[in-house]
Amino acid sequence: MKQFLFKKRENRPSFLDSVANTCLAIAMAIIVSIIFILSLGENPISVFEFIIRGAFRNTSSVLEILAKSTPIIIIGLGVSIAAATGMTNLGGDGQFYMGAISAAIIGIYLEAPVWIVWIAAICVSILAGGIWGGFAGFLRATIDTSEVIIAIMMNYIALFLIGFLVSNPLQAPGGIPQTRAIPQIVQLPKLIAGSRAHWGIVFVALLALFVWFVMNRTVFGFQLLTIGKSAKAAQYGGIAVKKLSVTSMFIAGGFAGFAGMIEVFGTYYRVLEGISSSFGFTAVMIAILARYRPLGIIVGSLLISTLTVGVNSMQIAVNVPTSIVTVIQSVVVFSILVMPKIRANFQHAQRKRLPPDEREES
Amino acid sequence: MLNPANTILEMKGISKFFDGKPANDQIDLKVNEGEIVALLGENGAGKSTLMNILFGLYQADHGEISIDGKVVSINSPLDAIALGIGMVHQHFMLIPAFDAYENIALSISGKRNGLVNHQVIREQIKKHSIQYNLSIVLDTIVQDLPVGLQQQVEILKALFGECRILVLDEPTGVLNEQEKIKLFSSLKELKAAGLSIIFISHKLDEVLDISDRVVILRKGKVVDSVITNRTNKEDLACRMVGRDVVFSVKKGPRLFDNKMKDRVLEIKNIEVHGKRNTQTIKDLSLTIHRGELFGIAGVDGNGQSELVEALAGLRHVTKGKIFLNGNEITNRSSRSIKQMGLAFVPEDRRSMGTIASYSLDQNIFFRNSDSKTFRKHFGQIDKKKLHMLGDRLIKDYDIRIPHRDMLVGQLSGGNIQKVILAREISSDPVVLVAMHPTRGLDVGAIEFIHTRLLELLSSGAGILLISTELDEIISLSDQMAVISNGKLSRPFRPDELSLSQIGLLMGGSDEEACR
Repeated sequence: MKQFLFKKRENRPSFLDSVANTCLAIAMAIIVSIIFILSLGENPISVFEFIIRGAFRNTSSVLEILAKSTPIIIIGLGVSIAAATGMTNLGGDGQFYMGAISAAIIGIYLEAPVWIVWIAAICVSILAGGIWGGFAGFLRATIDTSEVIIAIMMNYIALFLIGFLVSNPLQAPGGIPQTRAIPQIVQLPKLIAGSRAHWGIVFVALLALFVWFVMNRTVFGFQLLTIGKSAKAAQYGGIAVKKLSVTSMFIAGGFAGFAGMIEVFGTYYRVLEGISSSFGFTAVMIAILARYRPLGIIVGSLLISTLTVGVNSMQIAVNVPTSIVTVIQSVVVFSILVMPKIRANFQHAQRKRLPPDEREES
Repeated sequence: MLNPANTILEMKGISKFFDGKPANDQIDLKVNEGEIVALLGENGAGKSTLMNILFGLYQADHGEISIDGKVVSINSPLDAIALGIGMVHQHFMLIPAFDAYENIALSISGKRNGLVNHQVIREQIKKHSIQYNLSIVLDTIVQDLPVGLQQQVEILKALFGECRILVLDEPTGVLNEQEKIKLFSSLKELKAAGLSIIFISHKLDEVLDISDRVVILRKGKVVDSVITNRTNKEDLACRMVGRDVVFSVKKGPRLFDNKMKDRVLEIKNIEVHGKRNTQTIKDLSLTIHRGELFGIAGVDGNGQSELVEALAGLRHVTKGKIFLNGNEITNRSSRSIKQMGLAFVPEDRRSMGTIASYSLDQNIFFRNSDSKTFRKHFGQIDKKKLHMLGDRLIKDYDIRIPHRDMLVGQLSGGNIQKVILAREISSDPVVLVAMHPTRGLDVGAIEFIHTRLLELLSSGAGILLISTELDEIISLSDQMAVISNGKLSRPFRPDELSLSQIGLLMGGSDEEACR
């Protein structure tokens, strides 16, 4: 038994623990939403049925889930890289907008072969988002301002800048505040004709794999993680703390900018106000819940998107507002953050009651 | 103790397991009224665990505690305080932004109707401090007090609530000589007033100086209990480590010869600013040759940290120049200074020298992450090579680690220091800068580290050793100097000046006064 205990890895909470916590959180979320639905005078079982049926009613609804989760996953992966150095990238929305608008400009004005347009759009969107994020990181690294506050302020700057651009210099004819559409030839092909899902989702899978590889296998990832553990020790270790901290925020911003490009080229084909429905915040929430693990970010984003798609179709049939998604999300976040502590306390209390010989086994 | 005094505290058969490993194994401890009992043991012998059980911070897995012959259950520090047990922790539990009075008043839970009567408490504190001859300035913010006075505040705080048993966990670790003398006289006053004191230490001289009885712990067990004036230093050291200890590692024949002109480290008139932008290091120069150990003695906080940080590239040098092996390294990045051959053992081994939540391999790697040796294609880390190096260092440096995935933060201080030393020496340095490399370690580990430092010297490297332990500096150094208020004395051979002359230099007197 002792042998076993020594072998146990203590670096991270065990996989089983994480699963148990997630299940508990979902159970809590279901209980709270049942109360919510009952208070509206509806039947919870039929509401849930509508949500699930709605989400999986046909191929196109499933593809809709994929389409909805694509930008959230990309931004979430970026958030996990910033988090490695201890930065919180709450500027996902602004970076997304900057990436989207610069990609749209390339798509609309650059007359070149499709591949060149795509590559140019990707580079420019990453650069635009990266500068937006990197600036917040730069201020944090040099004059120690809060990157969270700066990033949120940068969100507003981006939001109003886009508002200005799509209603003035870049506005398409017709009076609606939006840009012209990008030519059909450069639009990303759909997975299945007629649906909203496009080949961007394939990028996402590759990107997640790439992020996992970088963070777990490479020197660069190790250096980023070391900064997050202790900047003091990292500096002593000869790691370029400031440079890499800014870089991690640049990458996070670049990812969000890239998500903007994917949305413009794959879904909307133009930029309009409100193209991001607070993807940035949702992505941060999911990344925290996933403990910054790429696979967890994918699963979390898919779950939230499923819920959103299901609720949108449920709303048509039953008198329950879509804000139930927010309620469920909030309860899940709350329980994931709180349940592990409660469980740990509970287990600790139980262990105390056991006689010492049995204690070692638990 | 001539007359058999009353037993006030008895701990019987105390056992405590962590992860199935016994930290305390069937420990019996008796304390009489008005007695100073020293708990002596190496790091990890179980001294602090035992006292934390007594103070209610841990609960024992087996065994019972009785006070005045009555079995008691202590589930929290509040219970302990109510039973008359006070504890002064190794790291002070004071609120730095509060003044001394507020800190003491905080611990007094006897409020009436939720109101605090400051007048009454103030009177009480004054009464106590006069009674026990503790000098307390009540209205000074704690963070502005010298460490010695902070400790007095801690002690006074612990004495409230009808304290009868005072536990002091490694109280002298942070004190300088004068503060230590003051502490010991306070403890004697307390003893005379009938208090029982449990004094945790691994410093033999102190134990011999202050205690009536010494209880020696080794690997979680009581190995002996001896009356202090019937034992001596060598005897205690032998019992504590379970073998004969060579006290001061003797300097063997050295490569070093003053005529050798190979200067590995040269510091020329540097000036460095401290944390609050005050000028801390003033016009400091020193030279270290191949195979030479240069020791810097001095009381903590006289510019030692700023000096080593400047050398390692972690602090800006405002004036002057530093040369490593003839190449200028002034204000270069810590990475390039390290690559040019300066190894560095920082003073803060837990938060700077290592990363607690990293494994041993990762702790070796974070200081070498730019080296090509551990890099595979696509920027991947060569974990196999790293593991092999880890294995070698564990063997060579006798690092005791239960399994390879264990986090370094869970190791004992001595083992953590071995990890750092192994990593730094294995980089084959030109110069090793070691700050407080043996602070807080047990005799066995100190001896081991000293031996390794001397080995490194004979391979031709230079060492800059900074320590507050004068014995260490004197027995190891070829040349030494004393730092005081950011100024370095002239270098001298350890046998050149007497202890009292060195002491005067440490106290800030200038060279002339020592002649």
